[in-house]
Amino acid sequence: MDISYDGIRLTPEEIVTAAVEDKAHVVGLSILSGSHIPLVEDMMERMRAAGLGNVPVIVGGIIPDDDARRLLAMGVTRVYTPKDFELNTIMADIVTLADSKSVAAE
Amino acid sequence: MTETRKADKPWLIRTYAGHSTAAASNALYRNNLAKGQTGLSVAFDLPTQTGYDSDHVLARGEVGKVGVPVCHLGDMRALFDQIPLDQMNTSMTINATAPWLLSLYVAVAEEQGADISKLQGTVQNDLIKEYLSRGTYICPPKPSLKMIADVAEYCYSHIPKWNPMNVCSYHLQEAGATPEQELAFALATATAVLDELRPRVPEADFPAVVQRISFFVNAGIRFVTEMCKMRAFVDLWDEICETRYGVTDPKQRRFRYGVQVNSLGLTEQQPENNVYRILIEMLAVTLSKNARARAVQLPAWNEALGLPRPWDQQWSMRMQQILAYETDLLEFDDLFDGNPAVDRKVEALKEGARAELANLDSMGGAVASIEYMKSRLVESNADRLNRIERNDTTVVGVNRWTETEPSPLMTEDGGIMTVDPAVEKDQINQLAKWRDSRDAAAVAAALADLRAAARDGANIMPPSIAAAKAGVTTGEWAAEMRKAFGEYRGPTGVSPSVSNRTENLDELRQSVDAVSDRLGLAVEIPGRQTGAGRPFQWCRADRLSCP
Repeated sequence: MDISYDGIRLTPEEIVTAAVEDKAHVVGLSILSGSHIPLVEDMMERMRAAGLGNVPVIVGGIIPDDDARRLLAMGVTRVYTPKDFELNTIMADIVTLADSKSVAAE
Repeated sequence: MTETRKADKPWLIRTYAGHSTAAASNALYRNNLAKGQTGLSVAFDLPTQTGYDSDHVLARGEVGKVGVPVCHLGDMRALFDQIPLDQMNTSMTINATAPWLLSLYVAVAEEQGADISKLQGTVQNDLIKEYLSRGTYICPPKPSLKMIADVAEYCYSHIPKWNPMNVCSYHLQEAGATPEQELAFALATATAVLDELRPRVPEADFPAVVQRISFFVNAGIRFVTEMCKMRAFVDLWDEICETRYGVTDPKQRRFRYGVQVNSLGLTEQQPENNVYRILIEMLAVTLSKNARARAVQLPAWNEALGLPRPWDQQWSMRMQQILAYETDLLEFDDLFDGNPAVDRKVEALKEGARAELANLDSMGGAVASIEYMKSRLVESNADRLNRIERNDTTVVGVNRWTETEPSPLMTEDGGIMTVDPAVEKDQINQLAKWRDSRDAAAVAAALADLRAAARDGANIMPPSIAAAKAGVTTGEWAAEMRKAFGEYRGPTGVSPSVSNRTENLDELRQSVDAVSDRLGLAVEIPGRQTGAGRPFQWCRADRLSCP
């Protein structure tokens, strides 16, 4: 298992391209500016268009509950907010998500 | 004695504000000033901070979100409509595009008929902390340092009362810095800039340039330590100005600082408790007369939830007004002079900071040590989070006393402000109109002058001001800087090496091994401080409350 983190200020297009190239099992996004709705919407469409519709996408940020529900409805697998301060839990979630992907593929 | 002593003047009372459009932000500013706010603090949106026009692909979804979009002179004009700039003290949280936003500000002030030499305010203009934590850099460190110095050189000769650089330790604490790291990294940043400026001004004028360097700090919940940190800052800066730069007038060695109190420690759980945190943190930077802030901005109680509404910001500003105008704080001399407990802590902090400063100096100073400082911050933040998870650090409502009654403050709007998605489209339409209405030849000429100045190493401020007046846009200005100086990607702090600083990871590592076997990939577990720490902590405040 490896992590590739390209840093800040990437377009949804760049992130999806990286996910294709790296054959990502899980994609994690961090958005703290409140722009999560339009950007994640765009991201999810591009993921499906690139054939990555079954790759789990997780999102972390300053995300109000209503928005979190909207993100989940868009197909996001997990939403993390400042409430989720236990990083081991988040990491365990990611491992599980990566695993379920492999099980599904088999 | 307190009966005869005249009370000190209160610090500048500001609120970090801006959203949606220049017109909406102008209304907010005028409203805040009417409520007794004494200075302005402009929050720009991320595209403006990173040098993109509102219609750029990277601006999508971000226009007007964490601040106001300013694409051109027309936006700046609307932002300060009916606010006389010659009577205002304006702080602009702007860094990579600081030369440009200051140029627009100067151009608007001239239009208003203001005497430019009398303008007062601050541009943040500290790129080093952008690489380390905040993220809105554009160019690599060397040309960025040159542009910081361009602003300082211009201000010193044209706007002598303007603070051309606000060295920020604020964002270092938001990224997890210890008090010693905050002290050392900020002071090293200040000396890097002054070392760059020194050969550019006549020797006799240099102390006046030193005097204009100001600071922007953070104040966390461990408020006694934070108060001692501010006293340590005052002493260390005095020492550096005297020994490193030979400034003989003690007035010119004064540590002048503004503050926004901590946002990292504000909790999403039981958010009303944040009001107490903010109050306590404000005490750290106001109680000591000898180390008191010149300007204070407070976050709002609900900033871990989203953007604060005007009422939320008003509630915070009232806290400042009560301390400044209702209490007797400003009638007293320094309350802590000669206090042995305070003195001991101040000395200990100074000692720690001096050791780290010597270390940075030996590595060639702040610019050469960016990767090193980044890795230290990432470690400190991991330690901080570990302490919360282990319950070594109590956070009320988060890891202790988590049971709560439903909050009546959480109203139907979710207790936050949302920016109308239509704002972006409207801003883009206005921008297109602006572009169409300009004198294209004048714009092309102004950009050619700017390009030439950047290429020849001349000060970019004069051609930037001319470009502002010609109607050049933020994206066009920044594109010239990108072409001339290149773009930079800062260190992420994410490392593939296995961390030995983390705890309770054995089980997790085993499951990673197992999953990796099933997926048929090599096993590599990055340290949690690198892999997971940063994305969730990076600039929570930057993008909301923090300047």
